[in-house]
Amino acid sequence: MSAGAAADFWRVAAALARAPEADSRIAAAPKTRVMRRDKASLWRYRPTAPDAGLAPLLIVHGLVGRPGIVDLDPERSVVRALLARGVDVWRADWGAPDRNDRFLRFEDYVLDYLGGFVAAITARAGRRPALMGVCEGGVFCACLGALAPASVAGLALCVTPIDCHASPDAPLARLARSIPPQTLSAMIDALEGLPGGALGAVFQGLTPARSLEKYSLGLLATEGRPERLAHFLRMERWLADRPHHPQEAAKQLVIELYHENRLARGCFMLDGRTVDLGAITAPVLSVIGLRDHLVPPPCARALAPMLRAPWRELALDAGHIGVFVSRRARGVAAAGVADWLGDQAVRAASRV
Amino acid sequence: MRRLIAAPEASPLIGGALAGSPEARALSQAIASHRALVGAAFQRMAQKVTRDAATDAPLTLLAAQARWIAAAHAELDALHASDAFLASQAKVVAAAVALRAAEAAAAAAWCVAHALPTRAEVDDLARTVAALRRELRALKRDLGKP
Repeated sequence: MSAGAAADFWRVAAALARAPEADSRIAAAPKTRVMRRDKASLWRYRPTAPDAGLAPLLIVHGLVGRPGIVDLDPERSVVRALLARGVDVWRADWGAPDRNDRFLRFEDYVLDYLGGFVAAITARAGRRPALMGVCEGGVFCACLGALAPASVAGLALCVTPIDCHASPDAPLARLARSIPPQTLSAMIDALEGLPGGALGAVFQGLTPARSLEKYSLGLLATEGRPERLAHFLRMERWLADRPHHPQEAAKQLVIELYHENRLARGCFMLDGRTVDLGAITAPVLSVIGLRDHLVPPPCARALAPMLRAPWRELALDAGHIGVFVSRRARGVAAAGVADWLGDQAVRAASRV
Repeated sequence: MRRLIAAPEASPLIGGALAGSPEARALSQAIASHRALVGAAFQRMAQKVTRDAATDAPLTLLAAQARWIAAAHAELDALHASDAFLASQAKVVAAAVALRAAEAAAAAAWCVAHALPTRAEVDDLARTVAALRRELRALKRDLGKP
């Protein structure tokens, strides 16, 4: 080992120990809570530019990660980039589900919470919102777009799994299918849901070498670069703060969607109704990460042939999270979504 | 996950009562097999790194780390993507779930013996409350109330 490399190592360790708490704050764009239902909240971001007259945009996350990823830091914030373009940005926040929420289902999140937020935005803004769904949040949005097509102006589905079996080698789908549904169900019951820490371990286990690299070479690469170190810490803060996925909704996600692929097969049921993605009438933008190993491009692109509504794709040279935070994709997702909001079809669908 | 595969002795309620049970033995065996599979991959990785190091000039810290990571990419990622790993992992999960079921049955028997509600009974109540709240929200939605 060279003395120089060892010194780098200790300098990085010291910088980590000294890093101020404020440097790792995430989701700091100013916003106001507009509405609350149980643990779910609707937030509206404070504008930073004159209103561009586009459809309001409601950002919807899943239950697998917290919303901070779209506003990780001021330099890599999809939210701030949208605000700077005069978009009226709102955000759905599911809070921190706990044992009391273990019998909440997709129905509750899609029809009650999300549907309620969409109605509230329409009433307040005087325009129907477009939805920007992130991963599982994109599934929520697609379901609402199919079950209540007239309520939304458009669907921007980011890294959203539609056909979970479209990439036979996708590690997450293979993992889900390697365990029989009854065992998955019993496991989720025993854990009372999917604990955030367990989910994080599962994701890390899909690419163990990448995790080793991140915490060694990746960390050393921050030496002497405070901005990179701050970004590293913000990312770790977001990863460590993974929420618990409610039990019944977890069974729907893991068994009905990932194991049985019901959404793509047209037999996913919510509240006794079949989710027919062909019933979506709002324009759709698919934001895809070309290097996404969790939701490989074919899983997301599978929506296109099911639709009769206008469809557009924005493919980024990024991974699942990199779509929102990588240096390479920085600003591209936000610019693409803002451009799509200006589409005539989205504008028309937004009018009440 | 650690909670799921914890040994029965870790349970404050059951104590060691299930320690020697068939379910506990099956879980121990499944974990041992899985560890052997993972251990073998680590061994292959270490052997490759050691072999390369024997023929090369001394490395810097960064170069040594890069070598470890390259070996990890080759061995660990391949292992985690292999059918053998997935099957072994599935066996651990199934064995853990079976043990938890045995533990839950023992806990339920204890509750019944002491006139306390069982977990299944509490879950039924919670499920009913969730369903009633869902119906209430649907009614409000139908009436157009927030």
